[in-house]
Amino acid sequence: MILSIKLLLPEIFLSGIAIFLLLLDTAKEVQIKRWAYPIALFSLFFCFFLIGVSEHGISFQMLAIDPFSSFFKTLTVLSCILVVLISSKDSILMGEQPGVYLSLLILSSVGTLFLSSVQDFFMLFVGLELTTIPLFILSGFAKKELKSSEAAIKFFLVGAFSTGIMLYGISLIYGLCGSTHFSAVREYINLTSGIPQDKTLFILALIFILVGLGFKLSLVPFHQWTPDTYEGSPTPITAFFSVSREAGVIVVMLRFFNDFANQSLIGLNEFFTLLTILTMTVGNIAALKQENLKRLLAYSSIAHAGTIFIGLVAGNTLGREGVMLYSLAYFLMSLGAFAVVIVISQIRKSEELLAFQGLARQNFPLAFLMLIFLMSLSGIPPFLGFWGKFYVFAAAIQSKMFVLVAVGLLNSVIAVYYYFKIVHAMFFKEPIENLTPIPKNLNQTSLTIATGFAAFLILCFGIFPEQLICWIKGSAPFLP
Amino acid sequence: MSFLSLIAFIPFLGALLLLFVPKEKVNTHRLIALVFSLFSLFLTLSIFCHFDRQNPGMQFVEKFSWIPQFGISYHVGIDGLSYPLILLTALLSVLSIIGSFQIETRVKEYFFWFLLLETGMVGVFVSLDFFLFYIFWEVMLVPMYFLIGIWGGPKKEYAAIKFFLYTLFGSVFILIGILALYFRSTPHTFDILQLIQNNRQFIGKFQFIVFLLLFVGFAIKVPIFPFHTWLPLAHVEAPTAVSVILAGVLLKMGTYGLMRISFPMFPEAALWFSIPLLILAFINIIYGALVAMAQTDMKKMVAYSSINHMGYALLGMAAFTLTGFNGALLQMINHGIITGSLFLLVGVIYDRAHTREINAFGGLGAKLPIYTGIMTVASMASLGLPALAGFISEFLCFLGAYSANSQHKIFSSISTFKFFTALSVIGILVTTAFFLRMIQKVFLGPFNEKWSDLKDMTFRELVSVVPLTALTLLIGIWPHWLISLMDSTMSSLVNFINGVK
Repeated sequence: MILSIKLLLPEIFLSGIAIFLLLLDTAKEVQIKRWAYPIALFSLFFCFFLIGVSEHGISFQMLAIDPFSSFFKTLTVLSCILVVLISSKDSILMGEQPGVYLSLLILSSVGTLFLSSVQDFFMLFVGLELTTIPLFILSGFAKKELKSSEAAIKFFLVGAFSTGIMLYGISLIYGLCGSTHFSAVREYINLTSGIPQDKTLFILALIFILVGLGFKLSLVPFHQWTPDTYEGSPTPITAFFSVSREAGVIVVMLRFFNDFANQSLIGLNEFFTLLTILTMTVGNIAALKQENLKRLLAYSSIAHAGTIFIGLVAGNTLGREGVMLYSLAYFLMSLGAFAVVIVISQIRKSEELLAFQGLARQNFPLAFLMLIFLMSLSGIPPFLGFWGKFYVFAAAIQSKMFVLVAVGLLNSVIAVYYYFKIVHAMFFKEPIENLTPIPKNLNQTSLTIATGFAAFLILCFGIFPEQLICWIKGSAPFLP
Repeated sequence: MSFLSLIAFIPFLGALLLLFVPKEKVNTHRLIALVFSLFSLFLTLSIFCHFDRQNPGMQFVEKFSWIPQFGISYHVGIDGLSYPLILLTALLSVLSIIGSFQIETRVKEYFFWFLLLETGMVGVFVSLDFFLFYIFWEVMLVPMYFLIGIWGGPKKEYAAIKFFLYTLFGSVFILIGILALYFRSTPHTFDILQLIQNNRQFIGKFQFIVFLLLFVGFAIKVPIFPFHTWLPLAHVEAPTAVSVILAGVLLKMGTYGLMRISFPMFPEAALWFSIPLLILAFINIIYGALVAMAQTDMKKMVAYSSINHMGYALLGMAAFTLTGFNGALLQMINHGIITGSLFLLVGVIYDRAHTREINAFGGLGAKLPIYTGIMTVASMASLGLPALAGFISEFLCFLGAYSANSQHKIFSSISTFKFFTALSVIGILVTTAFFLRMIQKVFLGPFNEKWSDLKDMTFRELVSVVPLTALTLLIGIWPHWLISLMDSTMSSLVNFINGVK
């Protein structure tokens, strides 16, 4: 018991902090409420330490704490820190109830932490709910804005619906295998290999679960809620959305579905491939027409989810490592891009492409940072995004999935077009006159630190990826 | 001393340094750009004395492990194929930087991108690791996108994105090819030299598929006929100095890629494709020349003549003979020098008259004697007048193709080669026609009074053009110094390809 608890130090610590922050908000004086911000930041940093020292092992038969989960935990906490940093000046989120906001943010991250070591469908369900329920609230945090409420409602309805589907799948699995543990499912496959009638039901159950997860990961055709929710939510939340939600689901997929990609279950691999191709293509083509940056990044996140999925479909070691590296890269570049959008929208009150016109003339460093994020998103070397792309495509070529590679790479050319539409606005256009000019000095220390740090990592790991690859190679084999 | 890395990364250091100079100090920016590119040129020239002309292999090699997990290394080196092209790159960069001193808007950014571009270009020519090659290949695109898109002509934005997407589309194929080669080779490697050494591993269909994949990527850069549509737009819309780089250096990367990578790595496929290559070369020559003839805009004319001239280089390559290869490489260099100076010269007249219409001028010969003289030399070189650079290389290309004796299975190859080579000579006639017509309409005939206050070339413009004119004459009269650089590498390359037959 004690041993099992010892393994969960980061989760327990962060949950405690989240509750404490919630309590802090009951204070009458604003001065005390303001303490929430440094406390949250400090405890998140401390969490790195806890992740580092916590032992490895199996906790309560349900959670596997291993280097693989540590990798995703580090990612989650890192992205949470970045989100806290970029939202520090946000009047809606950090205004009246900073404690509530921060505690919800941290709780959602705790859900992702649980997901990263999940070994059992029950735990998967609980972790997923813990991740998403705070997000429902957060997306509706701008109470006075209609769009924010719309975002929350849409997200909530779709979330509840998809959870239902997934639960149905889980109950089918339980009926078939007699347990909800991943290992029981694995045994079941080994036992029944060759008996077709149960296989249909089993595949159906898997597909139900996948559909449930697909909603959360916004794979096409389960993606329709994404753009509206992204557009309506407060921008830092949108940024958080694009990373935490994806991290949780991807890690689960890696842990669980990856096993089945190798098991030649009839049709399942083709189903995955189709889903991947659809997700990339639809995401990219829909993004072409977007004029609102948040919507554009929403569609681009769909497309990236598709590309990450290539690594899963490839189903080899290289693919798994690729998924991990791509996730890290995507977190950094997506958070960075959103951070720049936040700066612009705070000054100009708009997230349209027009607001970005002439940014290079008014504030070159900011435009240059955005350029780095966009080039990384487009997968141009030597930025980290390129390594993600390279890794997953290499994996797919190793598995001889040439159609997937061809579609994926053509998609990456399409993607360049809309990312460079933003570059075009920033560098080629003159600033629009009746918009507030972007000052040279932004006076936003924490935002600058966050974006600078993200850009630094993207460049550094992009040019010298050796250490990063080492770390990933050390973590990936711990997958069951 | 690590010469090659210095040549490649000194411009990059210059670009970084530029970032720390305040925006207003325009002259400092110009000076920094000039000094750093000059330094790079100086180092390139200093290699000239140490370069071993008898050695067909790689020289000045540097190799460090970069990403050991994939066996990717920082592996650079030069031989007779890449060294002349690096010379060309370093020289044209310096001259274009001098040529772009009149840029007044966003000077800092301009030179920043320009220096970054130089690093990318040199990097492509020196890298011997396929992965490194790909990275430099891509890195080069972004500065070019900005250079065309910000400082270009009226349709600059469309031209920039078209160039960018087109080339990116091509490099996607290259990436697939690289990965396919990586997984096919045992041990898995990205090292170009190792892949060439072990090219027997790539047999059958695989060889042909990967050859085609790489070919699409390289053909877009050359550009070879159906992939050429980005070229006129990008060349015409780009600012003068960038057109020089585009035509002078970037186009060579396609042909360089074919010679460095595709041919020796897949000799069987390469020989099989020699007839299709020949036909594509023929189309490039005739099509480029005819379309150039139809142009009334001087810059467009020069741009289309590039397609024609790259056709000659391709013709020499398709022959797979030593003469042909030498001719092709010499043609690449000459095209860089001649077309570079033509673009600079068209830029000179455009800066004064703000038009490039051939019909708008007339009788400038008496008014601008120096300009007329240099322009005439460049045009004559471009149309292949003996004793000027263009003649030598075109002659070698034709000679090589005419004497080709590849053992092709489908066509009775020898007569096919002779037939298409003979037909390609028409290209030279057409080229002569449009250059002479241009000279006649612009410099001869009655003087158009509208241009009575045009001034002749300034000192700065002369500095940027005269070295190229001098080289044109030098190579035309005494090409040996250049051919001796490439000869041994080329002969070992030809033997290598034909030996595996």
